[in-house]
Amino acid sequence: MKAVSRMSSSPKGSKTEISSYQGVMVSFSITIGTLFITITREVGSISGMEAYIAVPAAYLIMTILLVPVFLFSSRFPGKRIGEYSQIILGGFFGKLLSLALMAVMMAVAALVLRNTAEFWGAALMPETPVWFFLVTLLILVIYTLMNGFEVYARVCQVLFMIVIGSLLFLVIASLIKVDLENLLPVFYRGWEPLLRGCLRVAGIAAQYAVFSAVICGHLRDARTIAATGLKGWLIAGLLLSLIMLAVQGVFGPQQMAKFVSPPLELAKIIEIGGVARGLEALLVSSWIIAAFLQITAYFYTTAIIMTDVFPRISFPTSLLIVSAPIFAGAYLVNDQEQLFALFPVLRTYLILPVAITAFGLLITVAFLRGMLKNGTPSGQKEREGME
Amino acid sequence: MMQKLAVFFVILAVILNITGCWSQKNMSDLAFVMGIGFDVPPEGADAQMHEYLSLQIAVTSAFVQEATGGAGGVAWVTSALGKGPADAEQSIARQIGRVVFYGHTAAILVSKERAEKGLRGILDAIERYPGFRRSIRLFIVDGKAKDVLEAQPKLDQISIAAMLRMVRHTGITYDIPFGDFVAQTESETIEGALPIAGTVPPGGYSTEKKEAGSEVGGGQEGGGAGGKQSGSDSSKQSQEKIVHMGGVAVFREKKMVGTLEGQASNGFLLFKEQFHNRIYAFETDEFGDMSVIIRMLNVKPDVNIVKGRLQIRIKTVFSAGVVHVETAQDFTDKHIREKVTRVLAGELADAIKQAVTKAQSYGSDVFGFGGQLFRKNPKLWKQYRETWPELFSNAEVQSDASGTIIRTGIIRQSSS
Repeated sequence: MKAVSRMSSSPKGSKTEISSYQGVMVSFSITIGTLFITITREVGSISGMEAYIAVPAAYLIMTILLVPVFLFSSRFPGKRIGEYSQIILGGFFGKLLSLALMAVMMAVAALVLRNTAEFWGAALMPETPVWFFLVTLLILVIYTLMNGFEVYARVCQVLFMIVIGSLLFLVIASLIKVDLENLLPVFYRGWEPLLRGCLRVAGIAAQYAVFSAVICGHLRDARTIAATGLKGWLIAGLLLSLIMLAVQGVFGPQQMAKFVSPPLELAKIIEIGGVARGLEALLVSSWIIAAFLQITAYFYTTAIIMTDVFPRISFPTSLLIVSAPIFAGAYLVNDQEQLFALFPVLRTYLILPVAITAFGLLITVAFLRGMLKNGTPSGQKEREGME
Repeated sequence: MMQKLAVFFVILAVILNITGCWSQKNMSDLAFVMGIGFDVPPEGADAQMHEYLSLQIAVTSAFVQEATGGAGGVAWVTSALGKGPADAEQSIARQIGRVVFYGHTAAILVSKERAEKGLRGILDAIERYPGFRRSIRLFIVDGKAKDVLEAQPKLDQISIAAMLRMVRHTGITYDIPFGDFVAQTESETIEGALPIAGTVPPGGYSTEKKEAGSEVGGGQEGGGAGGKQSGSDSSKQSQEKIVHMGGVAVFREKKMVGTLEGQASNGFLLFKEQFHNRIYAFETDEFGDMSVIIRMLNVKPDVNIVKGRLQIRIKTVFSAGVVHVETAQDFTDKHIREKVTRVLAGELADAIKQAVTKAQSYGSDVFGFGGQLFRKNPKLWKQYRETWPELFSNAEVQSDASGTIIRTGIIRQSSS
């Protein structure tokens, strides 16, 4: 009952409901966002020649991590992970689990914020200090979220079309420069490089699982969560695989691993008919939009989990509270190399284990308490009881 | 109130983020660099100064003058010494009083002498700087890079524009973007190669000048040009020169080790399938001097290691059209056409073999046979990669070609 009342007091009340299509577009903020900027280099340096296979393979394999999200969403319709974790594990342990998820998402938010600032500076405005980008992004993100989740969903709905369009254009425009020799031979070093690359992408699946477990509460029709979540994940996987293929096909694994941002280098060399060149500024602008949407998603996730854990804190207040450590974390990163070193550590050794542990624990306890049995969904039961 | 405050901050953020702020670039403060040249420092220069950098800078006011009918060069070349590329650039910035801007830089020229010392520092400086695109072109200059920057082509405003036209549109020289060259020099399975440029006097080749000791090679590919002037005369004379392209510079890792010229250079371009729609002229016993235009090329190399020795097999398939035959021929006769095809096939196969043999003498696998082996048999490659240069140098090369003569021009029989 408490959970239901909290839900109704969430930001902008009824405005928080979104359609399945909007849900897919919102999920792109985590599954695409600016991932292609860093993950191409990361997987390229780990998997080498197999990098272009590792990305689609990981996206397909890691779909398994989304199963608990869909399961709980069907058992607790309209509820977020911060709410149903308290129902399953009890108030104290549920809150503890939510806080752990909030902490890791906050850490990622800080890195994503700093990464965007670094990319913005390196690609477009090299003389501008980092703090300026951080503050600008922070203001924009807070302003957007203050207007409610549905506003953010509509922003994603419009802007991600531009981002996806820019990425598809990049892939198509680079096809002519792809050298198939950069894609062979594969598996000559065994399966290890492929598996290590997959593991890196698995961290992204963990991030997406946590985010999905938060936004599932906003879907107008909770039954569409599986379709929405899968579309968001697999379409992004396809797009990222195409980007990976284009980058590796043009530069080869060795060069790809050397660049700070392989897709940016790709954008710098594409041309149309030998006439239109220097299109990277246009593409990079759309990528910064994607970065803004990505940061917003992380801010929302951490802030909304906080309101679930501490119901007395309003959403705008929690947004301001999480902003401080995220900004500090982003600002305190010393340099680009430290940032690049932190990303894989965080994804592989923090988010992935935490997410697997959290969902594993929830499934086990829910199973033992008989909450996963077929029949009326648990959330439904509560709602009916309340009425 | 909260909303108004938020709107205010958003507007503020947008205002701060549009043109202006820290990263502003004012057109009138910039010196637009069109081309960059690297030479060895002149004799007597400070021993600590390892780099002699020249920048070809667009004289922006000259474009206005030209539009209004005024006179004056549209590019100015200035040079400076430095402890490295960046230091030399700073010296130039102190001369010109503007911010050096590389956003429009299209080509980088390095003299042979400088390239033989290794390009590591130059490549690093270019690759690291975000303003350069990986699609810019890198040329080796037979002579002084500064001379080529100062050359005044007759049909283009600046030498760099003429050079790019030669590379991109006429296809008369090896076409490789900077990024691909860097990738080659850093790869284990292929070595780098770059086109060679030089200068020649405008109006073609003069017998007098040839006798006077010019290196101009009578119009042959890779004949090389210029670069023989010395002292202060060099700069003045180069003003009267135009750009000439020919030959291919061969690298081992990042150091230039030799050149492919004449038929070897053609063979290299044939192997790289960059000889499309170009005239190939050669001398035959049967038909005298003849020329064909290559319309299609398909070169398939195959490598194998037999008893510790590398075997290279190159199969070329072509289609070509006859452009000129010295002796009268009746191309309606099938046997004549077949004979021409056989002669041309032998010529192309030989040119490719010459290119490989020449590269073998430098121990530089610019053809990427190592890559062929790597893709074919990664385990075998792993076994031999350490000794690849030696293996390549001692390889047995076999080159075959076959094809068709698809056209004989708009006449079928020569008049006797």
